[in-house]
Amino acid sequence: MPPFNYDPPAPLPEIPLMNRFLLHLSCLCALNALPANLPAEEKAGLPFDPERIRRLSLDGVPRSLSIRQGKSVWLGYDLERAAIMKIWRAPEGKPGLIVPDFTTRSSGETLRKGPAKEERWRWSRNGKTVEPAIRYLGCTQGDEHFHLSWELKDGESILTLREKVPFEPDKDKVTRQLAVEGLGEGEELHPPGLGKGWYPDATILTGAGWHSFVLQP
Amino acid sequence: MSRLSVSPFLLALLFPGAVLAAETATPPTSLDLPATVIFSKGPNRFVDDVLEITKGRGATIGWYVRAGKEEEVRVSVEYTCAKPLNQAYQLSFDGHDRFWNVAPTGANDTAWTRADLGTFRLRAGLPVLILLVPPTGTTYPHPVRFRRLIIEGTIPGNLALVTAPGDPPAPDATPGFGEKLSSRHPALESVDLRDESLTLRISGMAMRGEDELLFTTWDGDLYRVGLDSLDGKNPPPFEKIARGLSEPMGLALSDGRLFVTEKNEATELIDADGDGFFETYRCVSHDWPSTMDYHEYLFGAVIRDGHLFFSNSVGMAERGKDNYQAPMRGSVVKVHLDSGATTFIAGGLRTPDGMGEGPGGSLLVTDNQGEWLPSNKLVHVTEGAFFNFRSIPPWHPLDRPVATPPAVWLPQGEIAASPTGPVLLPDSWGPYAGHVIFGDATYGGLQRVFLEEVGGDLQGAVFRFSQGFRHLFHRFAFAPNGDLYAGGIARGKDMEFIHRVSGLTRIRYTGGTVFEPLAARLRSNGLEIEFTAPLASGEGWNPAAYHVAHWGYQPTQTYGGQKVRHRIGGVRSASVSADRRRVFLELNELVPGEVVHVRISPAITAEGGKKLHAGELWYTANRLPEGEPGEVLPSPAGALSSTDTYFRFSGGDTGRLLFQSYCAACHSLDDVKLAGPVLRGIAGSKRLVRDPTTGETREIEADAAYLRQSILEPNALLAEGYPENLMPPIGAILSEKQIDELVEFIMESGKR
Repeated sequence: MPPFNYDPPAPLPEIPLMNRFLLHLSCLCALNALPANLPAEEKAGLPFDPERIRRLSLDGVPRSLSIRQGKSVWLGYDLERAAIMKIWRAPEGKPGLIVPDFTTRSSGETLRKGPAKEERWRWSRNGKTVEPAIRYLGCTQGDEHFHLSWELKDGESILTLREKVPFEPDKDKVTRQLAVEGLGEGEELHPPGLGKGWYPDATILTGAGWHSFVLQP
Repeated sequence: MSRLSVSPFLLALLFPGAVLAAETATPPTSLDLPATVIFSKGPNRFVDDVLEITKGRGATIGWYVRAGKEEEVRVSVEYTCAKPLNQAYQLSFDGHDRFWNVAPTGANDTAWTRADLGTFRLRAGLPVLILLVPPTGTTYPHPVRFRRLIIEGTIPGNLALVTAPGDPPAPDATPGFGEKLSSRHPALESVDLRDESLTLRISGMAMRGEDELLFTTWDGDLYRVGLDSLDGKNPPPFEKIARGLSEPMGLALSDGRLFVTEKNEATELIDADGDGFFETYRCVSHDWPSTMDYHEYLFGAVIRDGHLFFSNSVGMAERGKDNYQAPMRGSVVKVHLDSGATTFIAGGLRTPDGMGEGPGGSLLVTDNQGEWLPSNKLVHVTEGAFFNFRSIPPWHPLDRPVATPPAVWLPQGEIAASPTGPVLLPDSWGPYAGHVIFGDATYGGLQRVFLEEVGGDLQGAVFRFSQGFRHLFHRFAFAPNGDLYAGGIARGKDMEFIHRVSGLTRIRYTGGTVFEPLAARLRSNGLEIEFTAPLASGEGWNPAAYHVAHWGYQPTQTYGGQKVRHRIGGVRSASVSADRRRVFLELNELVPGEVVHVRISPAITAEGGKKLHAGELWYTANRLPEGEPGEVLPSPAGALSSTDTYFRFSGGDTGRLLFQSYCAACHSLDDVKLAGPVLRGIAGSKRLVRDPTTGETREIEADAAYLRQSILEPNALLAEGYPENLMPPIGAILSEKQIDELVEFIMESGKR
């Protein structure tokens, strides 16, 4: 047989992922136990309203999802890159997503394209900058936010990246909230796709607190 | 140098013709397999004795060869080819594969080149099938010009070309005896729990506690229903408790934790706030590449030892062009529930829709006929197994020359077409406890499998069990009381393709005794069949009451496959056990790796006169038990003097059988709309067809030539409303004669 040329991913550590994920989850649930102005069906308690969140492949990217943040503004995430792939506004009075056969296609005006393929998360530590391996950990719908999380890994060192997407149904502004856990002192994380056009335009995450970024009109 | 060896040399100098005469007197050690006697040229053409191949789909370049003695042979091919191809040819030599990257020979059509395809061990005895299989789906504007395959051995006169044997005559068929059952198993009661207002294409099922059933739907929802609320009269109070899942195809619970296999990830659903609805979808693993191919699913979900097991199917969107697959497709995947650590424990699967636990803690998977699968199959998953589906490189890391055989072949059209989730029957199912049943998304009903361990691995037989349900069952879950909840799925939307609809059914085993073959156990000299009830006194002894056939399968890179060496097997004797529940059939031959098909005459009755519910089984004899012969008993006086006609052979049945095996899954001869056009009344009818190359639609009169072309070149003229590549190239596995018989059958049947 011809040689095989794909290296399966290395087995992952047995313990930390699940525990960290549940810890984050309990924090998020506490944060989101607040009343919200949400669509009727969500008030009835059933999350993942397809009018607001779609977990089907978007625009030809297999592992992706779409979130409607405001009245008509949608954010599309490439889950394997932990990056926004597109921000767009649905046409007036029309849906922002077309859903053919278990896939989705964005429809409307593009407000922002995602970072180029070669633009990746960078992690500066010990005088070096590395591009960590990314692993999607999951998502949670809270009352006020949609949460995403990823693992960023360099060798045995692991960061947890979290993103909150606030639901702002009466507005059309784009806000991202990012937090990272596990950064050592003096370490920095550089997200792709932020910077110019966002406020603030700082492109460095440090510490464990939330960093908010608003897309400028 | 002896005088004897010098003489021919001298003769050659003096009388060249004499040497020729002397050589022809010595039987050759090699054998030419000319293009002119292959099974089918498909849509390609002959120019004199040369086959010009421009279309990969549709040609069956094959021969049967017999060797008097086992020997090693070298195989080469004579060809020309102007330009490179994008994929390799496959040489399938008695089930052993080599891949031939066709080297261009230049623009000169007469530059015949010989390519060495390697050496093989040619076994003696039964004919051996040799297939040269063009790349699946590939069309190339220039031909590969093929003239002959050459087999070179060392033993004079050892090799002979054998005429393709064709399928032997089959006895006349009735439901349960050569034909699909037409009714529900007499010991089963069923209640349709469909809510007519809902389309529930059930894709995963599991019990949560003792009285709550959970199920996912293909459309991405998770429902719950309390079993005590199901009265069978009112619409069940299904409650949606999660949504937004991506084409889930498996559901499993462990210690109250709930796991779903979605299209691109294995997911844990978490209800952290305890409100009964799931708001967190934790990605447990997505550690394998994924593309946008519609057919890349994660199928099934079984939890054991803190791990989630499922399989991932291969893509199909590109199958009309090539056979590229993303790496690691077709695997059985094992994921640690907490860490997400992911390993690929088996490979070589295609559409492994069903996964379930079998007897003895075994893990079973059903897979669907197609490329590399000449028939459907039930496989026993073991660490490192490779089940034979191959893509073009990159190869699966577990790919290896000798594949793991299925535990049970499920012959296409005869007993399965799209087998789904297997499930182990519990103790409450009486004599069937420990057996496995599975559904079918096309063939419908429930089929039953009995497995036994032979030579350290599982193999066994599949039996007809039940039809007569409204839904095409996809997933199953047992309630603690033994009630089986069966989730149906329809392909496409409800009623779109298949007349049976999706939804939920409750099936209850009543405990009634139904006379039928229960189990089959292989012995070194035959097959023992166990029945559910004692045979009537004096019955079962006559070998003529059992019609036995044998065949093998030879997987190729083209779609499907025919039975190999399909032949009637002789029954030397039949011995009935003292309790009259078992009959040992002493068989004239048993060949490892082949299917033994037994039809039991409906004339055989049980004690008390009860008739057989069904009388058919297919045993896959991967291994023959050593030193475990069945007991051959002397038949009682008069037992063989019966004047019963056990089987009738009306003849002319070949077309019907071919239709059953290759067409019936998608085309009906009545008004039932399946995946393909209805063929009722096709003879002489006006049909709208579309030429995919021009996009033009026109009306034609459907005649034998049109049917023939549709079989050979399904994409040449498309029935209006049907896409390209929907119909597999079955012409590639049928001989010219078989195509004639199939066309004649359809034309005649279609007149009704």
